[in-house]
Amino acid sequence: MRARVSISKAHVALLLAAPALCMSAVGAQAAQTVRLQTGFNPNRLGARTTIEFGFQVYDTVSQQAPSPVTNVDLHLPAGLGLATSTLGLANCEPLALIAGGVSGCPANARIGFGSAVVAVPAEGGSIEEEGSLTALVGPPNREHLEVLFYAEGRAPVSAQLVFPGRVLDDHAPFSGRLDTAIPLIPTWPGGPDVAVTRMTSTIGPRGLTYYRHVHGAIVPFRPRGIAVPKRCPRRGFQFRVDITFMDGTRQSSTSSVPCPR
Amino acid sequence: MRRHLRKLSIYLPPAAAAIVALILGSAATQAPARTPVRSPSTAPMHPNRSSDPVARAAREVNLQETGHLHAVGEPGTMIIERGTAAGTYNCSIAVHLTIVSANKVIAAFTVRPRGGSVTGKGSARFVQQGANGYFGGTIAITGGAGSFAHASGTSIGISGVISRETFVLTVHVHGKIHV
Repeated sequence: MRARVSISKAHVALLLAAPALCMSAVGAQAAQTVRLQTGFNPNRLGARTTIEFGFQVYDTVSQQAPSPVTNVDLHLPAGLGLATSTLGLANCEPLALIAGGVSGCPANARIGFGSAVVAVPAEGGSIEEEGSLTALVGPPNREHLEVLFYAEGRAPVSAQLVFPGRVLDDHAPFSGRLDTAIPLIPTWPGGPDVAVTRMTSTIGPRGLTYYRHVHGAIVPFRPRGIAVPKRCPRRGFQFRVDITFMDGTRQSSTSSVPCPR
Repeated sequence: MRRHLRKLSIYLPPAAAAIVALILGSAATQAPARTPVRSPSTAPMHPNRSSDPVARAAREVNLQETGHLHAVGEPGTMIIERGTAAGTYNCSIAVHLTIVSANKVIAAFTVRPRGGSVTGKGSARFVQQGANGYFGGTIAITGGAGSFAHASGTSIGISGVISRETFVLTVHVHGKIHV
């Protein structure tokens, strides 16, 4: 499954002259490195938790935007009870998300939130733009769980994007992987694509409120989080991220959530 | 998954086998049916023994069961469910569901029909949709006790739905078994 690039209200606000921007971006073949950070909140064995993860892309060529990220594959530790959580009690349709943003989908479809920082090519370097990120459960699928990421940025590039992820099986020592295709985000027609340099997100109940009907009234509640195993592996709970870039390179990074003391 | 087929080597005339099955049925617990009866060509000849094992014909059963279960304890990566099943046998049932990955569960079960018990294990695909989780796969009988000491069966279908909020579970089991 590939990402659907949906810039429904795309409105590109240029701050610098286009020719200068194009010249600085032509022919770039940057090399990148990646660093992953992960955590549980709370970090307690046998408890219900929220997964916090984030990755940062470091370009090895200074003053030059890294190659755009095209795919993020996050491998999850064995034993996490994602299926026994009550995250994603409703489904979100991509079209509703595109048309109405996060409020176009049920609140009970949200499973996390975060932010994304992108590098917009500019004269002499790049400009960073931070946008919000919301993770929601996508349409029902008989094969796997679909996760939709909704990203919204305002300036200098105003865009709303929906890109799909899939929770797939994985090999030991991982229990599953969240495979997400990141769409290319053009700055302007014919211009270079922005590059994701940093992305953080949660998967879990922290900061989420769901709603249910009880005797005719709408009652808010916190969804049940992801079960942390009662036993911690010797080296902690291992995550790994594999990131693919538009220049064809691929970088990986591992991170462990330490065993709670 | 260990395949544990138990075969009874019964060599009785068809009519006799049918009569034995009708007479014994669940009352087979009365007989020490654990010792398999070997074929006439291989069994030792003991014409004067009064304690010969009772011949017991393997019976094929078309199993159709529906179980309604609820969770016991605090579900984590394993969900322990208990309840009752109805269908071919009306009995109590216990299921241990272990979430081994994002899309796969291992199911171990024990059913206790009258006269004995049957245990089995299998794996199933698991997909969550909204407030429910759906699973489907196959199981195999791994053992039995009492009347079902020689129960066997593989590729038995299992499917069901579990509420992700309450962990109320409905499970369907169907397939051919030998008892």
